Amino acid sequence: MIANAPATDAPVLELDGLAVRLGRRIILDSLSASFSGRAIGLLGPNGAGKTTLLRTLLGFYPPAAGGARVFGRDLARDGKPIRAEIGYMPESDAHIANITAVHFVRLMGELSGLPTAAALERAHEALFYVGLGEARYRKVGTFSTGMKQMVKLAQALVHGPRLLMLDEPTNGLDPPARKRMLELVRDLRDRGTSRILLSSHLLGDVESVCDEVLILKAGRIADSCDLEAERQANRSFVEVDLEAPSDEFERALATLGCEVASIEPGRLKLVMPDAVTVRDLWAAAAELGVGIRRLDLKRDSLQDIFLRAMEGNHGGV
Amino acid sequence: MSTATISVSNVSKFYGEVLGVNRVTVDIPPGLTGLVGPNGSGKSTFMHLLCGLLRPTQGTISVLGVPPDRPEELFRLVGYCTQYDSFPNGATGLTFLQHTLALHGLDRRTADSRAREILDQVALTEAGGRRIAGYSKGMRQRIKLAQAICHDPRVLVLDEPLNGLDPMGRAEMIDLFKKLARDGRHVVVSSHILHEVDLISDRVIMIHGGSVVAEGEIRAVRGEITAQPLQVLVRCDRPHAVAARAFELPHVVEARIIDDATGVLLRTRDARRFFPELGRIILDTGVEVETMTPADENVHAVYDYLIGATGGGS
Amino acid sequence: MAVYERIWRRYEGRLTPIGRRWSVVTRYALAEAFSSRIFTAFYVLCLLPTLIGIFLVYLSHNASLLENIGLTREFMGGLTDIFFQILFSWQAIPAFFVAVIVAPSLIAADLANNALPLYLSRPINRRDYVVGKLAVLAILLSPITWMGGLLVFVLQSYLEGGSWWRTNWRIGAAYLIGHVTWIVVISLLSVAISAWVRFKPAARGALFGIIFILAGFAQAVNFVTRSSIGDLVHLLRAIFNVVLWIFGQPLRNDLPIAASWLTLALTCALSLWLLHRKLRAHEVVE
Repeated sequence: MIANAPATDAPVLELDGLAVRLGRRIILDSLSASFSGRAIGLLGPNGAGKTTLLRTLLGFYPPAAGGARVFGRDLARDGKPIRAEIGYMPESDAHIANITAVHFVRLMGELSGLPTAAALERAHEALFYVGLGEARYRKVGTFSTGMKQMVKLAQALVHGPRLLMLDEPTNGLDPPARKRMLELVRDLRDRGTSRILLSSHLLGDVESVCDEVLILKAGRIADSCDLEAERQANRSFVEVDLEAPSDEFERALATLGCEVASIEPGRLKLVMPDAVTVRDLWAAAAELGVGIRRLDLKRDSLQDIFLRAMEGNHGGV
Repeated sequence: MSTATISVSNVSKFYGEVLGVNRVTVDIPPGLTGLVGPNGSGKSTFMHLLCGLLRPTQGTISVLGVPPDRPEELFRLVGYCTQYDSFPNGATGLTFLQHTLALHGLDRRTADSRAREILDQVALTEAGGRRIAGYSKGMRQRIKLAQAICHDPRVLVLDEPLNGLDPMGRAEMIDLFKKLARDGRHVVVSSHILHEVDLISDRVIMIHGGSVVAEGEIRAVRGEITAQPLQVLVRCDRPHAVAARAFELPHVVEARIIDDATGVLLRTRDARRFFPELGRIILDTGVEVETMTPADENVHAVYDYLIGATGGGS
Repeated sequence: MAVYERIWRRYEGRLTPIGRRWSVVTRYALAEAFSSRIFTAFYVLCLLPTLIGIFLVYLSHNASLLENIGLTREFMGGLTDIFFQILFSWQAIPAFFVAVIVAPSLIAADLANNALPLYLSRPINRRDYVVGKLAVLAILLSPITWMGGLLVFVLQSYLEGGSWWRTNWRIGAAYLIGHVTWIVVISLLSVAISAWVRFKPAARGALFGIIFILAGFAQAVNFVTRSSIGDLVHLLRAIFNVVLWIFGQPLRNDLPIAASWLTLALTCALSLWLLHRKLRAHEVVE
């Protein structure tokens, strides 16, 4: 390849004042950020520009201003080499109905550069890996929604891309299939096979997979943070469920200096001053003979980060 | 036939040889009921039966006292939001709702004002005049919900209603469902996102292989699965110490160190004795506890126990 | 003894050259086309005009054989322009049918379930995709058109000997230029219509309409206006005019030859514009 080879430690994704316009509307407006994590989450309300961003990185839309780099390669100049290293799993239905799953994944593999023999081998492997082993000789048109979703993942994986772009991957999957999909994605992330870029509305999915998050709102960046760092940094409050409601316990905690709020009978939310530890809570409970059924030291979850970003000062409401 | 519940009695539905549901008996009281099950388990069939879109091959259904062979009454009572995306060509959000309301017998003026009201409720006010074909996925979901609730039905059957909505949209819709349920309606919501089902519903119905495998309030359902001892997760700095002391208790049957030794998963046959004794263990060992929570009193765990990871066909 | 973990690995082997990726599209589409036995049989039938042409050429030079079947050399003597003109049309029409059958299958399968984004998310752009699909038609149509025709021409030249080919070079040129032009026009047209009308039978119907119904319409217009203005939309007449022009024969109507070229060129331009509008990685809703 003549195009500049990427530095091995280049960030996965760099946005440099990227702006994208469709017709006369500005969809993305001066996005600047850099991500090097193993898995990046892409969040935002409907219409914020998540899908547009993914499509721009894939070269479907040209940037109106600014640029982006994927693994150090410039988007405007090296579109094809970038796409050679990407596996894309779109949100909408995308398949060829009247061919078998193996034939379909093979075709996609060869289009991504695999030689014929390798494409066939890896197509079978990919279909087994996503759990479609038994169905791989059937026509894709006969698959259920969940299976079609898995075929989309298989075609994204077959060439072993460096970056896997997943747009709502758990859409339409029932609970065991969702679990399996998320496990597969975490497996790929942990083994270092691929970096992940996950766009989803399900904060739970993003939280369980990603270490960095980019939150878009109305085409601009509302927040971009490292989830691990956020988790370490914030400890805000404790939630306690008691076996039975107890005013005595609440008073005892107040005496210790905690702010106590009762969410429901028997469910308390506490903010502890620095001097008080969780041990003191247990001690107080043991003394009063009160049973603690659940205790949770809460940190900012992704939901809190997301809601704060939405209320932020970008473009108003 | 009670007029306060939806009553399904020994209902089976077969499409030729293909199974829809098999001898299902369940009573749905007012409030929010979650409907959970793998793909192909009969959930859709069950919902279509509730809406009167299908007649049972056998058995009886009565929705608030109305059987499905009185469709004029039944369709007035029931609002259905399908999981599929299909709208009349060229319709705008507003005209779609107006026509639906006209079908329910409202005159033009009332239909128009009610349609606008509903558009406000689902946050589609400005988009009402635009064609549905140009809507984003989330907006399409909202307009589907709008047409399900526009005629003020007493029973709402919603199939994956939060699909495609962003987190704020989900929260808004969940609030809307809760409000509708609080007003005394029967709201049945089917979803694959189990922790949301936990959050939203008071009761849950679990379907697998065409039969109901569990129904009721989640904690009660969990309590009935006696074959599985209660699971409690303790995240702390010295899980091994907790595990060692826990094993001294006769009713603890399992202690598993999890997640790179950040915590321990304990299983006990006696929930009542367990919690105070755990408190003592924590105080005695001096561990710093971050989280202590029952790990399986939620829909997800019950789903795993009853339906399992291999549930569902292809 | 070893336990082999089944994990997902990156691919470390060699990759096929990026510039040649479009040929993957071609290869798969060709395999797809010939997977239908009916089509394969039809395709073989399309070789028949060439074979008959070869046979007739041979027949006209083989006096003994002619005697055996009771014909004279004079009867076969006129084996020149008229023969080649007829042969051209007998090759061009089946070629059109092949395009009508194959093109919708090429495109409709990809567009029906939105597979185009999957193609375009790879090191392939729209141009590669279209080139790959057009190549299928080029590969299918060439043997039954200009290759067959040139074969007949070469055989005739050889059997006539001497300088026959020098005086009749126009025949060879007409075959080459005429058929290649025809292939370009109907390939672009059929692929464009298939991209626009995604329903296969409807696409085929539309293509028939454009060639045959428009032809009837053109003749009606000609009759009414007592001119040849209708021929501007008569694609068949346009290509035959081009062939006649290269043959050095008078044209079928009284429009200048540039009009026929214009018709063909406009068809190509419109097709390219349609392809540009309809082959997209995403839906554009105004």
